[in-house]
Amino acid sequence: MDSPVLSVENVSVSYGARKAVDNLSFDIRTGEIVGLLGPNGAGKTTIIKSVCAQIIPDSGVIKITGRAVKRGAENRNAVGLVPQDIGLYMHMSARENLSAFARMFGLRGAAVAPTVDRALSDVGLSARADDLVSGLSGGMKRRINYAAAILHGPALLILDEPTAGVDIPARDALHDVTRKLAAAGYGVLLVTHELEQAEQLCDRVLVMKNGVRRDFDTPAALLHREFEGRSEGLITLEAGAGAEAASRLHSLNFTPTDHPNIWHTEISKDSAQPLAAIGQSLENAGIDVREITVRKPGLTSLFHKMALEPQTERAS
Amino acid sequence: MIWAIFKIMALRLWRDKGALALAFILPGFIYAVFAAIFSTASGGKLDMRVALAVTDAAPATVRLSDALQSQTDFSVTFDSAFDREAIDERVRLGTEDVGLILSDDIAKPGAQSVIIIYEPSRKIAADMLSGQVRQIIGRDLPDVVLAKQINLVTTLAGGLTPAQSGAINAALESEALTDATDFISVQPARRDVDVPEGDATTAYYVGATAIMFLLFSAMQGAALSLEERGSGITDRLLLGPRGAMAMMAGKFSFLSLQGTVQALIIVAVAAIFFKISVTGHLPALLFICVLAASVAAAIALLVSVIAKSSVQMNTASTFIVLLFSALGGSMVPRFMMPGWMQSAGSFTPNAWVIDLFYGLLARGSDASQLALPALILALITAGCLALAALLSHRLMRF
Repeated sequence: MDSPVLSVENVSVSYGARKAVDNLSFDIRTGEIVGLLGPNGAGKTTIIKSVCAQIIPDSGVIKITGRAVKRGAENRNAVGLVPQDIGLYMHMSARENLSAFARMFGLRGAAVAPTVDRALSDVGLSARADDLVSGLSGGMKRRINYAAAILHGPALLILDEPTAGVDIPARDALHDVTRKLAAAGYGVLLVTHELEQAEQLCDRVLVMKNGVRRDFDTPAALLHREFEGRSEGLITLEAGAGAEAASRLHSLNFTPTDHPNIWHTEISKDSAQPLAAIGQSLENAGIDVREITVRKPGLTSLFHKMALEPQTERAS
Repeated sequence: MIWAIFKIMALRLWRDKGALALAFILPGFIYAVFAAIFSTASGGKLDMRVALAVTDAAPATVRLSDALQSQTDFSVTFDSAFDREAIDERVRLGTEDVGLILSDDIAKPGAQSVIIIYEPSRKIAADMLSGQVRQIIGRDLPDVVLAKQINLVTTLAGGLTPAQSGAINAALESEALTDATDFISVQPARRDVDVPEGDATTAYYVGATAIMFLLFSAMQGAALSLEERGSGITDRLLLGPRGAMAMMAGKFSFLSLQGTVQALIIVAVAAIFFKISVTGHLPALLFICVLAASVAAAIALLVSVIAKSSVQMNTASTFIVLLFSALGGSMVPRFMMPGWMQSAGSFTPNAWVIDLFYGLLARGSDASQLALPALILALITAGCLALAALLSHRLMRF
């Protein structure tokens, strides 16, 4: 079996007395997209900085293509970073930006132009190469942001919230680019808060909470383990439902979601709760129900569950 | 709406503690600096440095020498070995602001016994010293003044008969008496190169303006670092093979080149419109322009590394450029400042850049005389760059 593109072994990082990452291990294989998920403060940024050699861990080892990451080490060049913001010079064209970044990553002379052209082609923006970045749409800027990260042919691509703030067509286009890059052999670490995106794109998902690895597996295996075949039920109330509705739903083991009118519960496979009956009882009490949904849990459900659980740590 | 915008701006300032401190500490500080400089300059209380030579041994001359050395209005450097040539050299090189030579018996009528030597860029110092010397003589040597007047009267009229009184009155109205009683002669320091006095004054402002402009310009350019940090470009580029050092080197190179061109433009304007002679020392001028641009670039990069926000960068850069320019002599020549400020000015690049340009264009300084300011500027540049690199290395990693 090939050595992994990225191997993180028992890494711990502290900021003073606070442990940002605690004994973390995971790996990314060639052509694999691994999602790094976790609420704010989970340690995602610390992991990125550690992989990029901007932070040296207190303990543990990070290897990229088998070589340990060290401060100032040359294998930092094996990483391409797509930052959360548009990390481009707005007063320059897409081509000028990419040429500049290519040179800063060590490309010289005749090698620059074809590399830039290939990167533009990879992200589908050859036709807009000479437009100023400031004049491109948000989605196009994001694609140039991708292109700038692959110019030097890194083995590992880190995508930090790559689709933040873009519309659905642009997001889909970026997903296509990500899949294409993975198929071309890049290992991809995708940091995102968009759980549907992670579920669609990622081969495996690393779930972090409070600096600790909570789980690391394929989305399907992870969800199966978390929910053990249970489904989730959602009741959507009409806007303006009052405190009585909340009280009744709480008593029926429903929990509020991020959306104020949507309530959530888990439904065991062999003892499904009579959601329709619950809906009817709410209607009888004068509470308007808009929708009742039963569905298989997704990563959103997992996050919802994590938010509710106490601060316990699961062994890696 | 108005309140909301007001609150946004207030919170922006309040939550950027560095900018907040700069915003409210700087005005008082800048005022204090400028008030000290300009009140000294316009109030006539200069911390002048005077080089004194005494080449006459008459009792009255010795008494004046003693009086000059014991007064406290200006500082006097006296050496019995000083002669006219030594005084010219010291004034020309700026060792002292102005020179004073007691060359003849001041009690002797008709003699121009006091010679004041000045550098054209500091002519006001000569005028002020002239007044100070007259005051000292009137206060500390009144008998000499009286004897000199009687001698003068005797010489002119031979006694105080009515006819003689008439003759004195006639003499009082004549140019000859004015010349005879004006025992102080004010002369420019002799120099090896032939530079008209007007040129020397404008030559001073070549360096004074250039360094102030270069600092402003470099600060503006270096602010790009803040944008790069905010947009993630820095994080991306730190993954490159040379990391932070390459970024620093690239910016330093550009800002130095830009500054060199800007300084050369100022020199060209001085040559074309103010007739300052530059053709004889173009290589040295180019070297000085490169040095001035480099030191400005290095300081700007250091500030950009330390600043945590664009507000801090803007405020700090304005403050630093104004402070350096005020203390370093870009606004007012340093000899017009209080003594402690003149000393503080030595720690600014402005003082040394002005020294280099003025030395080359007006004093006719040779390479050995320019070596010290050039070396100091090179050291400031290297120090700022090293510190910026070190801080940048740390800040970008944690």
